[in-house]
Amino acid sequence: MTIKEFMMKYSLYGSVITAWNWAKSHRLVLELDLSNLNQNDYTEDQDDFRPIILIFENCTIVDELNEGFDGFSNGDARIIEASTIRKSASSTAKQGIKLVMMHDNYDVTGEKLVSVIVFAKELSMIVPDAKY
Amino acid sequence: MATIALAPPLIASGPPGWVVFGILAVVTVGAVAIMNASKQADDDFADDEPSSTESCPEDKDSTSETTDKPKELPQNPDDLLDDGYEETTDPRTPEHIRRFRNPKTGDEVEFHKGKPGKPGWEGKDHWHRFNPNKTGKGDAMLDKNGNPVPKNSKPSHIKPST
Repeated sequence: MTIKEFMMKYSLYGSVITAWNWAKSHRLVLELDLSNLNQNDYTEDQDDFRPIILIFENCTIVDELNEGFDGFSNGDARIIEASTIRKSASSTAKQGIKLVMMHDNYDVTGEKLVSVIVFAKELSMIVPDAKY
Repeated sequence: MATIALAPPLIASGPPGWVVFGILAVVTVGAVAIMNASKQADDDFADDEPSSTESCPEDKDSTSETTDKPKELPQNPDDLLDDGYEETTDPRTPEHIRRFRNPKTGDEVEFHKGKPGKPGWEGKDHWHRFNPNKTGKGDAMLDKNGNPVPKNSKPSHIKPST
């Protein structure tokens, strides 16, 4: 699916990225605890989260804070804002997700603000738990 | 003691002295019995009135920072500034989120302003309170009663006090 289609269907606000992995040079694999609490179809009998995997193909990221962020290998990141970005400077328009999140290594430094735009041509979602 | 000291001359003075000695003996024995009974009563029925050095009973309705119950969080986050909190928001943070810390207590909280039309908690004003003793995402936040709960879980969303 496209990023726009994904963002029309799901809200990433309140979700937690638990793993950030680059597979090959332009494939980004994110493991998330997707917050059920912030979905349109949430009902009280649901768990608070559902684990999902997002795979971004032909992906590049832009660190909006210019702090060299390229992912993390420890801790997790809670998403405080997510929005769709469309970059149309050239004839090949790109779609992206702007993710603003608080990354926590669980050390003495505390949470750190991260703001990145993840551009990708295609996005696929895997839901390991079959009940969703 | 006085009765014992007076005994020899009274006895030596004949029948009138004997009578006086007898009266004195009865009065002395009675007085000793009454004093003993009074002392026993004091021991058995001690007064419970508070002395001036006793501390006042604890005020159950107190909202003091020294109590275990976490401080309620206001609808207007600026109110925390009047309660000794400092704003620690990273200036690059989206404007709907503000973070505060009380330097005296170490209490750290984050306000999320609800966005109209958004589903779930994104559309509602709420707070998160951070666990100073967190070990991971499973206990990173506190619920409204101060109990550790998973990060961004349902009980980690604290409604502002009304």
